[in-house]
Amino acid sequence: MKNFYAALLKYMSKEQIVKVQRAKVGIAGCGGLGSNIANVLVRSGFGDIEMIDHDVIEPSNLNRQNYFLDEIGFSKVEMTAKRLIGINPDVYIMAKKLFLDKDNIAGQFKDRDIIFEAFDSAESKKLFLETFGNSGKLLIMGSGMAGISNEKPIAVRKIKENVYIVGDEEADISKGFPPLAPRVIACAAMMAGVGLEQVLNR
Amino acid sequence: MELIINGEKQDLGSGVTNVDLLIGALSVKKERTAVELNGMIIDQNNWASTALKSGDKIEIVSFVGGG
Repeated sequence: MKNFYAALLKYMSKEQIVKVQRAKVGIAGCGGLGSNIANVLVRSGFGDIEMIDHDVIEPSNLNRQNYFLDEIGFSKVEMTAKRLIGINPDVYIMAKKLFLDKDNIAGQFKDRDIIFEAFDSAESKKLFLETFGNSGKLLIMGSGMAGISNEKPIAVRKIKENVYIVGDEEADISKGFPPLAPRVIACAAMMAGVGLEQVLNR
Repeated sequence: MELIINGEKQDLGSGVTNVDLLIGALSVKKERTAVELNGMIIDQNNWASTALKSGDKIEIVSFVGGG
């Protein structure tokens, strides 16, 4: 089967596929969370994704980010775009190399219905919520997915209409918990899952 | 003054009259904390000018790093 969507009909209805295909998604950050969120979204049928990240791939990213050894030094958004097109060539992707900060973030993602927050610093997460929190867009954020302990599980907390926080909200890289693949990827997959559920329920 | 913070009723005394004072009274780091008051996210620039009243519903999000 060459056409991704034709094959996806085995698992999802046409109506469901149209909903996810048309949803305009933004991803802020293309590291451990963002690269894996993008992967899960495209496999779930999402077809319109804008990604913003200024970074290039480093060896220390490979433990959890969806990149390959021969991509070191290349742009994260470009390599993620390549990967997504490899899954579904019909997906529309906008890859923007830009360092998001307090001076430029408000002008981004204007036409997006859903934005995933996939930054690594807590300060950037706060900036994201204070910038887009009252926009009415669906926001899905990650907070607390470092370390190996699953004593406090990765959970979904709805803090207001259209705003979800995914994570344990506790394990902090600044407190020495390392970002390792199992919980980072689990959190990314759950974030994508919240997006899928919300879009299908619309 | 009784406030509902993250779903729980709390009385932090009569001195907590605005969002900035509330965040100061809790043991959280301001630079990592976001506040929602009655369904609206309050930018930190507006914390001090946003008055609180009894019965207000507040969600506090203390972000942690990693991603």
